[in-house]
Amino acid sequence: MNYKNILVNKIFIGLVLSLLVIILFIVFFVQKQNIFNTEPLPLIKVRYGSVPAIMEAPAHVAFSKHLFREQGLDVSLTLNPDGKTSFEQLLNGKLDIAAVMTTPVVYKSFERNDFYILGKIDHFQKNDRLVARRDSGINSVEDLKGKRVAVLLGSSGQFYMDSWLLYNGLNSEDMDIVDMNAPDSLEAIKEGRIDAMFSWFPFTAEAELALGENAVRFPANDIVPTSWVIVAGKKYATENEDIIEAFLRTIITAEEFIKKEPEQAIHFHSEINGVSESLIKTIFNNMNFGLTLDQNLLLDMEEQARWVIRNGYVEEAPIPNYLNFIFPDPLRAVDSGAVTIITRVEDDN
Amino acid sequence: MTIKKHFSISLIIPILLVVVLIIINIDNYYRDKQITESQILINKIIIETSNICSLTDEYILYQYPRIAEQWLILHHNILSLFEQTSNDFIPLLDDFIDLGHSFTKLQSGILKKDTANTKSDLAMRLNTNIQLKERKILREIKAIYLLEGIKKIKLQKNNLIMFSIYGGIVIIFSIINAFIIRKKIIPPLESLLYFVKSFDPDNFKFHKMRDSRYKSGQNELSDLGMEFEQMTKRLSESYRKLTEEILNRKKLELELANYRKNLEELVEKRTLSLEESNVKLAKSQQATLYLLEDMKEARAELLNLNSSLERSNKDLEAFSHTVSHDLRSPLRAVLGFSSKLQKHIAKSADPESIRLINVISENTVKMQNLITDLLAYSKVGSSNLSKSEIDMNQLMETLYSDYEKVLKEKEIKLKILSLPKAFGNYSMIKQVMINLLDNAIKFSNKGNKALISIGYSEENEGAYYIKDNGCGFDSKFSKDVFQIFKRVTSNSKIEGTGVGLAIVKRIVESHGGLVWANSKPGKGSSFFFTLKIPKK
Repeated sequence: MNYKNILVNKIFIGLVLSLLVIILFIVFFVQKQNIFNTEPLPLIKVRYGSVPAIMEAPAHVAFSKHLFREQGLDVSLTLNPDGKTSFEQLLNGKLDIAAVMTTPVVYKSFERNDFYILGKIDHFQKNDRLVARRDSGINSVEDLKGKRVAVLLGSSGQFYMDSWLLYNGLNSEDMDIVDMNAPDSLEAIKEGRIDAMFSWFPFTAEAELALGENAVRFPANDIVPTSWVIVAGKKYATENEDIIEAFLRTIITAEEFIKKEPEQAIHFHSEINGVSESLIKTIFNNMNFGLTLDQNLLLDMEEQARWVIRNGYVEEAPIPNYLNFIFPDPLRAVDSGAVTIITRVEDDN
Repeated sequence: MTIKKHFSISLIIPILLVVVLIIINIDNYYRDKQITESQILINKIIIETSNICSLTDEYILYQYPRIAEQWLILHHNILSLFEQTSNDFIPLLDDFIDLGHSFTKLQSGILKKDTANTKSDLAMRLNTNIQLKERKILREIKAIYLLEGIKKIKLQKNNLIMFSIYGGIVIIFSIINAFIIRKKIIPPLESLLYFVKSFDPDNFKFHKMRDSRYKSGQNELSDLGMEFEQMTKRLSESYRKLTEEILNRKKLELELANYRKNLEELVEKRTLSLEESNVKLAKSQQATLYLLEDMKEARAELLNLNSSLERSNKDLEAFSHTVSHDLRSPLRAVLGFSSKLQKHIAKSADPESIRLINVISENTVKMQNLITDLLAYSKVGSSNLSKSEIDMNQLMETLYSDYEKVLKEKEIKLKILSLPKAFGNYSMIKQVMINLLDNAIKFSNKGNKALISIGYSEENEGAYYIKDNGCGFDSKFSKDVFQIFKRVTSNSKIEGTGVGLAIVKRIVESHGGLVWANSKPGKGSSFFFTLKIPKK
């Protein structure tokens, strides 16, 4: 190797070393100055009230798969026995967002208007049902007279019971109604402390399973169920519209995942609500899991409001304008086609 | 029609058809899009009108403010949709505006709670009115929707017809094209093939005649046939010429073979003659060798002679040097004593004695000059000359200062012209100039406008010269003047040893130069000599 080649090699090595030094310096400088801070933004804490019911499968999947985190939310899940409890916690400021049937919402709509409905999750009509003990002498509708029947008053279970009894020519006064939440009703019917229970999946299914041959299941007939809605405080919703949007976007993502991977979704849901996967499978395929806001929601709530007034559960009052309880903007921002409810829109295409 | 034209048309027509098809398709696309958009809009109006019908029913049933609010929102939305529709909807728009008025009346009537019966009647009437209007509007919108659907079907039908026509045109064109190819291209091609197949390669001729129906100018194939025929004729002619050429060549080759044979014989004869000459030459060479040997011997003799001559010369030079040198000492003594004797007897002696002593002195001086000259002459041959560049002008300036007095005394004018530089021994060249100048002065006539010119003549390859206008000499003596002790003048008054010019000759020749003289009696003399001129 001649002198010229040696010189060229030395220059090349010198350049490479200089480049490495510059790169190291830049890396050090960047780390020191934290110019390209790749750490994610701090997650926003959201307190969410859920229930073990099948309608909450999207929320459970989103929680288990950390889909909320992907949208920048740190959701803490509070699993209550029923939506009514969650709704009360929301109104007491213990939760930011909650999932609940419209019945407790309608009840409260006569007292206060400081909450908003953000979306409705579709579910199927055979979710609510009546289960009775055969050994209590119940074999037909007529046999229910005089029996101890458990129901959570002020919940959709009560509305279902009234509707069911009305369909079957009975009256709640014909029976001994016991106010009891769903898990307690399940235990009570198993132990024979009550003769029948009006409740919803998975408690009714677990009761049937526990009673076995002793269980009597009555058909749901054509009773249209109440709506399962996501609610938030009015102040919270208007001040944190971006959080609500992120939350709803996550629910929609979870619904898409459920459609693609139902087996995994059942697994995630089972992990949260503690119900066996086989039991969930009996109902899961009937679920649609669509997040919407439609006119039926209004009709449902007004129907329940009339029922509440008619039965004297609230003092005589005009039917509230439920349009004022609905906040469609976040869902419209996330999925414009999901909002079909007639509202005044500034820029409606 | 030529094939080129045929293919051009075959290419242009499908392109035109495709362009037309594209234009029609684009037009159809936009028409279809317009109808579809219109249908979507009408569909939206139908849905919203159905919704408003439901809301009306609900309102009649419950009269909730929520329903009234939604009714008005929906009414406003439908009016906005009507604005986007075509003129078909103008009568419906009026109906729809009326519907809004009726609903407002219904709403205000229900709100008046003072006379319940009147309210009920008004509400009933308005209800019926609104429902009838709604149904009418819905029916008419549906009719428009249906019309749009019919338009779409019609468009699709037209498209189908158009595409069928287009397809038909393409098929007809293809058939015509195929027919033209079958009629205009295939037969001449087949004819050409038939003609070509009849070609006899041995005779370079076709056995069959070309079909006369396909004359040239009809199309490219008929031209090709004609060209082919002519080309074959030309090839045949070329073939004939080539055959003749080959025959000629064969003939020439035969002649060439004969020539070659004669040439070989000639060469053989010449070779024999050459061999004889060679023998003679060998003999001649032998003779030359003998001659060379003789010459070698002669050269050796010459060399011996030369060396003995050189030796003689050297001896002679040594002798003359010794004689001159040895003679000078007694001569100097004679001169010295004669001079003393002159001084001694100058006052006492008789005039005759003084004259005799003067004669002795003068002759002694002459002898001394002769010996000095002889010594100088002998030195010229014996010295090793160291040569250098000599500035002749500067040399002449030096000499002039030496001769100035003499020239003035003798009233001789000396004219020195510009002289080129010379190459030689400075002392020797100076001696040459002195001797020639002395010679010129010696032979110049005093007081007779005497002139001596020194210069350089470019003639005859260049030569220095010294000219005088003295007595001159006969030109027949022009060589003798350079011989030692040779005097060509009869004038005894002019003194001289007869060695000066011999020295000049010897010096010039020892420098490789030449020396010569031109003269006429009474006209003066010119002495020329050449020297090597240094290169510039």
